[in-house]
Amino acid sequence: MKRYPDRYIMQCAQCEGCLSAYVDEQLPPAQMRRIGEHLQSCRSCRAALRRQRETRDLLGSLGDAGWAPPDLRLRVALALRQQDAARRPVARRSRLLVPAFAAVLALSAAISSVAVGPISSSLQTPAFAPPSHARVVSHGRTPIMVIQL
Amino acid sequence: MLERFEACDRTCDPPTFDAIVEAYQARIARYIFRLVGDHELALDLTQDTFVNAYRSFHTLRSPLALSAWLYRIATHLAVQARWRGSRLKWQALTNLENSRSAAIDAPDAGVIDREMVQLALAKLPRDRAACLLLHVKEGFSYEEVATIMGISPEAARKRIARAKTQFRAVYDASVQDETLPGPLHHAMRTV
Repeated sequence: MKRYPDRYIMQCAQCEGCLSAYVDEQLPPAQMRRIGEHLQSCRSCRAALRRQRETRDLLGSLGDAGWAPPDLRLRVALALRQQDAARRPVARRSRLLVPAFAAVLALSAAISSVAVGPISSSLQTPAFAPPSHARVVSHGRTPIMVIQL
Repeated sequence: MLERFEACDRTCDPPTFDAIVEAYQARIARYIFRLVGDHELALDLTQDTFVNAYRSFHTLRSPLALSAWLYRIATHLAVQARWRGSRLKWQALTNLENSRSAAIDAPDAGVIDREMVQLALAKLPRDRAACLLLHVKEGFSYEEVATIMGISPEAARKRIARAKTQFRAVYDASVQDETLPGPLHHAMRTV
């Protein structure tokens, strides 16, 4: 807010611009005092002040009675639960997806192995040694891994 | 009572939050209703205010600012709701404040005045009306209004002054306008 020197004589335009805050008592004390002094000597600003006070009274007539919405606490609690529930299926799905996908992968691998498919010779290296329940047999020149289920 | 909530720890557990809802629901609901002018919408937005408050309670920096923080959430929701719909249904204020027992055939002058004030207020831009209500009806200082609205105190002062001027012009025009809807009639207004 613009600050005026102590000896500043307030003009009507400046006074009117501050009357709203003056009525609301939201100005610094020095400015409140200057406006008060101006109002004592200015009839038109006093009329503007009356109008400001009327406006404030009109707005004040709205009343202060509170309106408590029925069961708001219950509604808020339900809304929070619904939001949580809306999020939960996604989380559960993602939690279930990983083991389900792994199971499908394992099953498909087992089926492809049981289906007597050719395997590369690299499977016979120690790093990819066949499991104990599987055995490698030869079918002609092609090694085949058979898994006993 | 409110001091107890405003002094609560930042880690607010559900029972404490429940008490906050209990303490603020009437004020917040009334404030939102005055901004949006629709009973059902105000109820929904009041609920959303507390749901959002619960979700973002950890962002509350100072427990002392609890009241302003709630009003900030409510104001944001109300202003957004205002722009979301092109038309809002106006409901008579007699459904709310202290007027439920008022005779429909002979409403008193106070009820009519309040509704004309409310109708005039509803024609203001929501951000201006919010500033006005926050100060005049909810009792916040200009600085607190500025904090709630996310503007400077000087901007808040100007916005409140303009809102008063605009409100008074609309109100005066409404008083002289014979076609103004009666206080107990529902009117549709275009945003």
